[in-house]
Amino acid sequence: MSATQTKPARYGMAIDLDRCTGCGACMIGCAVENNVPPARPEATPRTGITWMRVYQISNGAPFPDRRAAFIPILCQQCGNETPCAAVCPQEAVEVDPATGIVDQMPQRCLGCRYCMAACPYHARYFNWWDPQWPPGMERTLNPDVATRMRGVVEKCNFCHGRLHAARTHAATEGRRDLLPGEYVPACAEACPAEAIVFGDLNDAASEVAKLARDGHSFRILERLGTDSKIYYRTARAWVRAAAEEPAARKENDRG
Amino acid sequence: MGFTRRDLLKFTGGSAAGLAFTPVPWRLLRDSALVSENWPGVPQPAQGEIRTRYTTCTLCPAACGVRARCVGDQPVSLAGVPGHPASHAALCTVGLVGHHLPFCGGRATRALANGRAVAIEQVLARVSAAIAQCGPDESVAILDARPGRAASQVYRRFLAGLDNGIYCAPPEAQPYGPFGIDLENTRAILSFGVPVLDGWLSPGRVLANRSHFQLIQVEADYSRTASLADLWVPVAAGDAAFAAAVAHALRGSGEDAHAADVARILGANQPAIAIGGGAGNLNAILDSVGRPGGFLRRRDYAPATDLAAVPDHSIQVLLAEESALPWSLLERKLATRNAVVVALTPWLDGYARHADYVIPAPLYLESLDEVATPAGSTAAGFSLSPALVAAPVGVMAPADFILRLAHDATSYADVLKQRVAALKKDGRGTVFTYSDAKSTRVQDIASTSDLWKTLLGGAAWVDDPVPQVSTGFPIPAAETGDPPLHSSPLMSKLERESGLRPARRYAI
Repeated sequence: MSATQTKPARYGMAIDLDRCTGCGACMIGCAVENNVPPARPEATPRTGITWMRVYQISNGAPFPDRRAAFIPILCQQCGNETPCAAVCPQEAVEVDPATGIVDQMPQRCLGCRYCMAACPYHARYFNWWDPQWPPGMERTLNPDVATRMRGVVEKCNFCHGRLHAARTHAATEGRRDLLPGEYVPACAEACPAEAIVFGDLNDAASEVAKLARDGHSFRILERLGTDSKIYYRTARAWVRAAAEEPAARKENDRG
Repeated sequence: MGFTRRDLLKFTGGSAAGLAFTPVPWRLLRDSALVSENWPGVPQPAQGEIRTRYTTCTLCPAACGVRARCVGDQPVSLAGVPGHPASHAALCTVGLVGHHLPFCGGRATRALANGRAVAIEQVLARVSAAIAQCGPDESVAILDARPGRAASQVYRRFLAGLDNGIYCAPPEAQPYGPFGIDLENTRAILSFGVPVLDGWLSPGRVLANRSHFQLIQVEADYSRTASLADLWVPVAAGDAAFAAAVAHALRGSGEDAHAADVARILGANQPAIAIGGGAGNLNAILDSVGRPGGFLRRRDYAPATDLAAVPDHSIQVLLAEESALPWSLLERKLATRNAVVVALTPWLDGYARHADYVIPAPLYLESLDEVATPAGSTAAGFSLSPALVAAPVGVMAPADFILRLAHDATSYADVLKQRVAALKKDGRGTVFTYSDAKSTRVQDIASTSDLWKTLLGGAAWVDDPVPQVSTGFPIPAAETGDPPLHSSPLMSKLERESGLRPARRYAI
């Protein structure tokens, strides 16, 4: 447990799929915050890096009853038998017991990509190229986050830089625990629909914990028992069915 | 016995095999990773004092408040301002990376005459001469990309001093004329092709109210808005027959099943509005003008000439800010002989490609700018957009160019100060400050200087509501513009790496 925290947190998210319009602001906010470089000309959805990626699914109904939903997928921060941590030969992945966040240490990463194969959510990305920005744009990089080198895997870490900044701020005020809302990842802050709610799932009074207990909430691939900390919420049965158990061999219907 | 070649090979092979059982190669791998993280090719974020500064987005007429996190003077991230009256706490994807624009290619940084660098004074002299030579049937036009600003008043004053001046603005810049939409109280929206959930008005305002209104999308495309609407009617948005069928159904007649569904939803969710080119007279039937939840009149509207209404081949001198209007439309209006086109633009690949002269304009965040009434707002508004980064040497604000063309010694900054002084003199409205999310009556601000400082530090002035009188209906106009000419390279995250489409059309 961190020296600055008296009780362990279990940070998680509740994402309201009925509010998400698929604008991509979460992806852009994430890329800005975490110094993810622009796509290389040769990058594809398979080789690109997007710590958070919004997929579009449809109800499969024929025209004109077709309907769509958007599902932001990010590291699910698995709390039980974390698949990526279990397979990493370099111990480059570890679950922080003080926060429940699955941390990735690129300095230790060997680039074997076992973790990518193990991740059931496809939420890990490999750096196929050196990070590059247009000339001069390096000046806009976030000083709280190091850039990653070619040959390592990276993923969402709930904006760890923001966690450190919030802890530092709390420490300057003589507090050891963070206040609700003091630490919010960039995607939750950027979402114009306020579809992403972030907080401590251990705090039963928090908004995110209440949403996680909501009858419309579910977790993706819950049957795997990974105890993920990303809860999704929808009142539409077809969205829930599609998100809980993605259809085999079916490409996502991207928008 | 000597040391043979075979011994050397054995020693080398044995050493290599033995080394694999030691930590050395794995250590070296890790250490090389550490080194590679810091080698010269890997960009390092700049370090410095972290500051928060506030401004207002000028990239579209939504007028969103912006909180910029800066390292020294350089913004490193932009976010919305909680509680902002126009944008709530949101920015669109383009606005989130507005600070990347200076690093896009294709920037105009020098005045050009037919592609060759010249001094701005030379351009001024040549354009003045061209204006002086205009005949009685030839006109001088200014295309104002963002009408309603103090700069717009500069343009109007300049043109009023000429015999043949035409002030034009793109129709999507003032989509509802003198009306705004009381979205907070609307319960149903019948949209004829307007991308309500995909770049209409301010995304924060629309999405904050999304749970309060039913959305009916009339559109042939399976657009993002259509796919998320409560009811999608797959009919061409401009289909007058369907609008007529809805009108009939609202009056209790007609046999069209789709129209009956639409009428039932609109009837059950009042107040309701109809938007988009196909709306026709539906707002009259819905009685949606001048009442809460409908179209409300505001104070500041000044009509501009629709460029489409200008006679073809009548403009001798055109001064155009970069806008969404296609060049083909502008070209049709130009005189066939010796027409002079001046592009007031930050980019080389828009109107600049067709212009005789290019005046390089500063980009968003590079110079003190202003934002007029947010699109769709029911009250007049005004914000300053202070510069956060230095502009390249040689750029000039379009309003400054027009002021110099008019031989006016005042600067654009002076014009903005005059506008703020007028606000203080009128004493109407409130000022919402971004840093503390507080609203203060203009009357309670001590002086013009204090009001100027408040607006310069990040604030939005919002007018008082006006008494509503029934004076006609909004004339449907283009409610969306095209995507911006340039956006951050990070938008490739959406376009290329995820297959997600960015906003179909640009926010209006």
